[in-house]
Amino acid sequence: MAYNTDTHAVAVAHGHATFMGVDNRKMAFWAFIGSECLLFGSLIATYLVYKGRSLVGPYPHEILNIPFTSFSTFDLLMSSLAMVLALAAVQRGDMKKGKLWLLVTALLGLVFLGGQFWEFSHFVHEGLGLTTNLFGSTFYVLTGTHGAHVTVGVIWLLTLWIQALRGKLGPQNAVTVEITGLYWHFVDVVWIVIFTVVYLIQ
Amino acid sequence: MFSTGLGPIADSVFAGTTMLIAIPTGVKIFNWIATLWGGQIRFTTSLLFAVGFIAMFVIGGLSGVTHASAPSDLQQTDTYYVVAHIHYVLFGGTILGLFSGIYYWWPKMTGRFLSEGMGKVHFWLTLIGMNLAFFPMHFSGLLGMPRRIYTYPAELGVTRFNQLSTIGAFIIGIATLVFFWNLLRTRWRPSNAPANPWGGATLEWAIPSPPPVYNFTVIPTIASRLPLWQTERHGPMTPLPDRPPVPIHVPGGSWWPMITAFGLPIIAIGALAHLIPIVLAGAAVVIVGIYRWAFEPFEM
Amino acid sequence: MSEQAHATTGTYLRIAAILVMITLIEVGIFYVPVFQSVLVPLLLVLSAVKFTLVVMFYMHLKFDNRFFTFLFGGPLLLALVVVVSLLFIFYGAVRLRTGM
Repeated sequence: MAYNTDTHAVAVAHGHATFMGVDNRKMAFWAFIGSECLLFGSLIATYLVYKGRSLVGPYPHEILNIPFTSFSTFDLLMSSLAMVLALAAVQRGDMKKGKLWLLVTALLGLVFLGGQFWEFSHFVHEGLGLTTNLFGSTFYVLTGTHGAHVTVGVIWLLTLWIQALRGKLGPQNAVTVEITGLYWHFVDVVWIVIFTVVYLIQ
Repeated sequence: MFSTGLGPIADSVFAGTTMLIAIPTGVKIFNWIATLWGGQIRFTTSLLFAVGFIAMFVIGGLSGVTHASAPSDLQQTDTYYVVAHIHYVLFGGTILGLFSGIYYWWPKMTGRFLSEGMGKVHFWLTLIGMNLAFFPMHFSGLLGMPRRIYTYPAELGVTRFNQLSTIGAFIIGIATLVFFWNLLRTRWRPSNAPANPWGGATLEWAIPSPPPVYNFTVIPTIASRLPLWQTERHGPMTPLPDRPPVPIHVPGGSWWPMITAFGLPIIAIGALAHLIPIVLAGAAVVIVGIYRWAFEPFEM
Repeated sequence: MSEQAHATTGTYLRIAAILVMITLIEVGIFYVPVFQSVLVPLLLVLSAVKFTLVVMFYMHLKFDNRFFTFLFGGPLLLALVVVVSLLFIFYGAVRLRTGM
């Protein structure tokens, strides 16, 4: 059977013509984000259901540090700003700014992770472990899963940054930066919810 | 589940919805019969399994309806009555349907025929074995034989039933061996299946067996649900060209998604066995897989 | 402020400023005792606003095909329903009315 495959180059800016006219990768990623809503929703629900039912301490009001966590929240919000500035830069072809803002986003993410590490080790030192009580279990699983997502996001951002350094990133494949942004913003949005529900509503 | 202490409201809701499901299920049974009605019935292996599926599934559905009633389910739950029900629907239903499909589409997928003689042996042995294995479980279950226990006192009175089930199970085993041999044997048969060995009416029978990687040379235009047949209002669709008139873009295949997925059970096994090196190895497989997948050239 | 199909850098900066301000307000009312009785609903509303701003503007959902809104909104709604249902099952309506 004689048939040819298309021989056009790796041009992914417009993607292939699709039935609904939307980039299929963006559609796939929004669907994934929908599923992540359910994942974090169930972890948050578990936290809420067990809230106030720990038999032994440490208890949230004794151990959660609002000023410190407010700083972490601020850090993530700024990283979302950096992400969106990175995307805007890449879309208009300004790769110098694009590289800068991608790196800033990743670094802000690392700062957040550093803060999480410090917070967790401080809590463990204060006697709150994963199996200490209900608060420990639900708290560490929820914020730990979020932290794991941030870690993946940082690795993703740094990979993109390295690709940009090698000249492989540009406005023609800005969609990849956009999708990275979708992931990163979602991680930030989840943190907004966690900050409110875990730290502020005690 | 009615024995878990949900309370009368939850029990009623579940009982009601379960009974309601019996209505569309009944419609399905009539659908399947209607599919056969008025047709020229040829007792190929595939059809035997299809008819067997309908019959066995109805039996499984009947015992299922008895589960819907909370009081009767209280006696049946966690007994072998449930096992009888689930095996009639799952084995008698799903698996027989699966076998039917395999016999039907094997020539299309591979270009070779399965042996009809062996297929019929497979069918009859399976049907007899399956009923011998699972029908007695209705009785032993109602006599009180519990699930998930591995030995029973003789006073329970279910020994005979269990012995029958054992014989039935071995018959199923032999039947399945016949089936596997039938499948394996096609490796050495000629690749001579035509496009439409059964005279089917649907689109898959319009392309060669096995189909080319792009399936259809052009997207067919159809006017009825039976495109390949002459119907009352429509003729058969125009035949497809042998070769694609315009180049067809087929996305390239890749091993990396599967390799990436394979890393996940490695992580899980390492975690279960408390062996960190295996967890790390699995994580490495996932990470390398993702990177190689992401940076693979887009086209074939 | 030209926002037809795309937000500008200025918009992004303004949104960032609003997000920071709302966070400060949230932390603020956490500490001020006057607001204790309405703390929970107020915090939920404020974080919902932050959530919406990030999703609509940073994630570009406002300007994208409507389909994406359904693709995200559906599961989000489902997650909310699941969380609320679980709370009702495990807490009962009484505890919820008296506040957590």
